Amino acid sequence: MDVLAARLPLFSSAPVVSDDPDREYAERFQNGDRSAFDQIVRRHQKGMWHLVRRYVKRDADASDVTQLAFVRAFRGLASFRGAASVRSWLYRIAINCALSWLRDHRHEEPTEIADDVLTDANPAPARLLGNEQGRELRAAIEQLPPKQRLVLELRVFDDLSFKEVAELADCTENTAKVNFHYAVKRLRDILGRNHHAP
Amino acid sequence: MRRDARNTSELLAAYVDGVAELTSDERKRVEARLSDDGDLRREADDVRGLLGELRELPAHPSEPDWSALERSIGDAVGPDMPRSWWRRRWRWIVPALGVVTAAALLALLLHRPDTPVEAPKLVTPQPLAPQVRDTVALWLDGRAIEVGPTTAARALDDMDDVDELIESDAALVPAGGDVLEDPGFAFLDDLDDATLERVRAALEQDPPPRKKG
Repeated sequence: MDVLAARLPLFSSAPVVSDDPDREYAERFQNGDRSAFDQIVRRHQKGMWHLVRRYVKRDADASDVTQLAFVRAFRGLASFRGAASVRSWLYRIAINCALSWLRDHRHEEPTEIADDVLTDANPAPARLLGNEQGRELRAAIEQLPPKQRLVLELRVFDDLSFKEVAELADCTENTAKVNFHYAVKRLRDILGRNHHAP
Repeated sequence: MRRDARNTSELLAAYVDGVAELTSDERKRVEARLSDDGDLRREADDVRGLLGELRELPAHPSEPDWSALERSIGDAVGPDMPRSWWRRRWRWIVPALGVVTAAALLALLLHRPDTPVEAPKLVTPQPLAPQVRDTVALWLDGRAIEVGPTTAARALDDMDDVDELIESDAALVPAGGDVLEDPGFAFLDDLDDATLERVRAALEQDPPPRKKG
């Protein structure tokens, strides 16, 4: 499945994404420049790790899955045709790897809970929200339907364009925008209609 | 009109979060609604505030050592450029194909029949059994006399007729074994002399008792 996702652009007739900032690295790699892949890793390992970390509940597991996703990408990059941006292609591989990992480890109990990001042992920067408010927001996001949650997280936490969100959520760009609207609306409902930023 | 309004409001969050990603038509429609609808403007402010809060949520603070992760990825993929799957596996594919081919040849050799093939035995055709026809034997005067079914039926219905048949020698079977069908006595004209002679001889040798009239 992951290999197929990695090779999916082979079968796509979509036009090549021309404004992709990573396109140059992909082409250099395809022309035999092995170091171009290191550049891609440097640019995207952080985003991929955080994306994967939202699926798996342990930091070490997130690192393992991220590494696996890059290995898959390394093998598939030679046949990458640029129908999607390199970033959304990488993220798709990462999501597939994370889902596959979850399937393989669904009976294991996590030793770290996702909420540990807001504990006193890991103080957030001063500009960030207070623990209680952040916990409330995260709990509200957890209650969103899967598709709305995916769209919201990719847009807000991964800073993807709606086009990239649509590629990853397997829908049209317009559907991604509408899903984003309903995710935010639902979130406001969960948090209370009179919810306002402090 | 209501559907258009709904479609427009469905784009509100996308408008607030990334106006540049809307088409000019979508942008104009949302802006037209915002200029007319105070509630929608307040909703837009709420959405903007909420998205701001979400973006300020801390990422996972216990991030890994990025340099270490990069090194581990580099080690996992190796220093060389990736090869296509068949190049990566040719060391296994070629010997495996050789083994499969050899096994197939060996199987063919082992399963070859080592005893000479026997010629099929010729079966001497047997003469066909004589065709059996429906016949009925009547026991008359201590002798079995074969007659045709029609004759037998009639004989069973009326023994007097049987007696007449016997007396007229009409239903007697010739010595050749052929069964005589009931011709209604017209066949007497067709009987050849030899047959009549054999019947006569048989009756003389063992004449049936005469009915007491």
